[in-house]
Amino acid sequence: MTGQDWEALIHRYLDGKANRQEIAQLSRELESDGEMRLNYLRMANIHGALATIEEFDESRSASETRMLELVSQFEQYKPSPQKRRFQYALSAVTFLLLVIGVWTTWIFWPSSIVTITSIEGIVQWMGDGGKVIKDLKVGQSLTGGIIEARSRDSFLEFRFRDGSMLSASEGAVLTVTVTDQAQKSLRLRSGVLSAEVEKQATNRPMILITPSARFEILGTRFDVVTTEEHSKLSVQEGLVQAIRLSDGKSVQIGANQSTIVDIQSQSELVARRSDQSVSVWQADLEKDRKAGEGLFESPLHILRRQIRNALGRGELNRDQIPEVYGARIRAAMGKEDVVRAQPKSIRRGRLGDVVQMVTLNIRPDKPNPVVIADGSLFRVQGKVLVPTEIRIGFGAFGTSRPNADRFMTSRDVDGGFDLQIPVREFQNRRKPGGGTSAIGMEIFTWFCLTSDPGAELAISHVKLMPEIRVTIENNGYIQDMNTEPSRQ
Amino acid sequence: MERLDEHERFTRLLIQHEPDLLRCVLVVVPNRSDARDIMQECSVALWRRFASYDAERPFVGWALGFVRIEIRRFLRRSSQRARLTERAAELLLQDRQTHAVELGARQHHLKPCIERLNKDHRALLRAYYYEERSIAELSAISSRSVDAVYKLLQRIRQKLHECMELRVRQNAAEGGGT
Repeated sequence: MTGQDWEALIHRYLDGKANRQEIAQLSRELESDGEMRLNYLRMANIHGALATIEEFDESRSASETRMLELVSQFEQYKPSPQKRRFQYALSAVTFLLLVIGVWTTWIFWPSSIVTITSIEGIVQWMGDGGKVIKDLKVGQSLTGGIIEARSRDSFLEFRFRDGSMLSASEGAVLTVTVTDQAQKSLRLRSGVLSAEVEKQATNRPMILITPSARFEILGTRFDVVTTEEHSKLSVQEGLVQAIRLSDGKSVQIGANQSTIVDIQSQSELVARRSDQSVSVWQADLEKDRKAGEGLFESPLHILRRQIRNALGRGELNRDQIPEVYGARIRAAMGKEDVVRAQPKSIRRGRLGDVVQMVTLNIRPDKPNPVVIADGSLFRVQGKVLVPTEIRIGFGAFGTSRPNADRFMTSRDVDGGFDLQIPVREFQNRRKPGGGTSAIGMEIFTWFCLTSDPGAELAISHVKLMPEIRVTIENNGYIQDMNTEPSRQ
Repeated sequence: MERLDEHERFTRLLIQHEPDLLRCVLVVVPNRSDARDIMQECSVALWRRFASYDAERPFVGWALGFVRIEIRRFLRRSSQRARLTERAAELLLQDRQTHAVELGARQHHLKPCIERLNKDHRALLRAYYYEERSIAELSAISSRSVDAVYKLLQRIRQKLHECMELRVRQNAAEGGGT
């Protein structure tokens, strides 16, 4: 490789474009060549400095600035009588240039690709070239660009030239483009996209990309709800190919089927039938915890690792394990596995900028969606070192309509705790006291957090279970098996 | 009260030096979101060990040790994703300290070199780095392909690199500092 090739590779690595093989090659070179390292550092420092720059002189986009300069020149222009003749000639030339300009624009200006058919609430369109249109109207034609549904109840429905109808809602941020080969390409950063797509050419399927998945659509009716890490695809008619971006695993989703693509998951993608849901879930702390939001600690696992290492080093053989480790194995078996909360920065959080958090993802490779039933409750066990308020919540996708919401409640805890919290107690995070109910929604993530790092929050069991309405009489108290005691 | 003062002192120091530390992370982990996550972990570790910090010594020097640990942890955690090897990362961080003066001096030329770029290039840098727009977004706005936007960004950084190189040489020829 030449010096220029290496420089190009460094740039590709800095932009996250280099593939695994290239990075391995770069690593080898960096490990062996000091000059290469210095060269890398010089370029990486530019990337680092630009990424942390606190002030940019350029306060507007280049096109905007150029436009303002033109307007300003026009406003300052005051013709004098002496120059009038010259100006007539100039005007004629200008007119000619204008005609050529208009003709060129007519030929090369990006043509409209969609027409608005319905609109509600505040929706913004940022077209090619950075032009922003805020007062969109039904019947308006638009070029490629970005749709932003500015509020939760905003909605925009539009039609492609081939009759395919799409709608963006629930705070959707959607980029729409059509390639020169007439292939529709959409990028849904957040929110909901519902579509009724006309038959597309087999070699040019409509492509929809979310932060976690790529969907290839040939002609079908479907909804996609996406968050930062999860996308749920529900197909009503036809067939959609779903591909996870992180590892390329894929699955075909047919009519009345759905799948959830979790960017963090490494398991297979599965097609689930929407009508075969269950309402019970028990967390597998080790497998379900989200990386970076929960540290799995198992006394038995730690011991198992120690034994494996000792075997590997030849310090003992298998027959000696019971004798050497027997007592410690028995002691470890009596201790619980836990997931310890880890710090996570949050934006505009009421609890501060950093919380201690455990997140468990409901694995989407299970054949049945886990749906919250009326009367269900969460049983949560764990411990804290100091008295603290913990917040418990979950994220869920809609099943009867495409939407996603988060629900939360709180408890004061001290020491070891064993909570049983009815799902009806969880409040919609966006609309406390109202908003969508969680009943009937498909749960995809569960979380527990505290703002107090000194609490050292640890979770040992989480279970979603049906409420058991058995009451026992106990010294004048009627105690419901699922809830806290109440005086009769 | 003492704890509160400690907290304030720590916050001040962290705010003051965080860009330096983040730049150090970005050398090995160029993805900004990953780098911020590492800094987040690092901030917590720094706060936990702040009682052992000797105020007579430079904060950055002390904090860089934690940065290295967190980078190493991150590389191990994300071994399934394409990353530099731990050894390459470690050597880069060591060399970064060895060549700190030279690299620091070059940084002074960045701003004038940015000013020498044309307006479109400055606008692209601003949108990508300062406004943190994604390449896909920039591609949609500028009607260029995603690949074309990447290539343009790389060309701009290469231009900055060459401009800084030239200014460093000119400075050396004039016998000046930075």
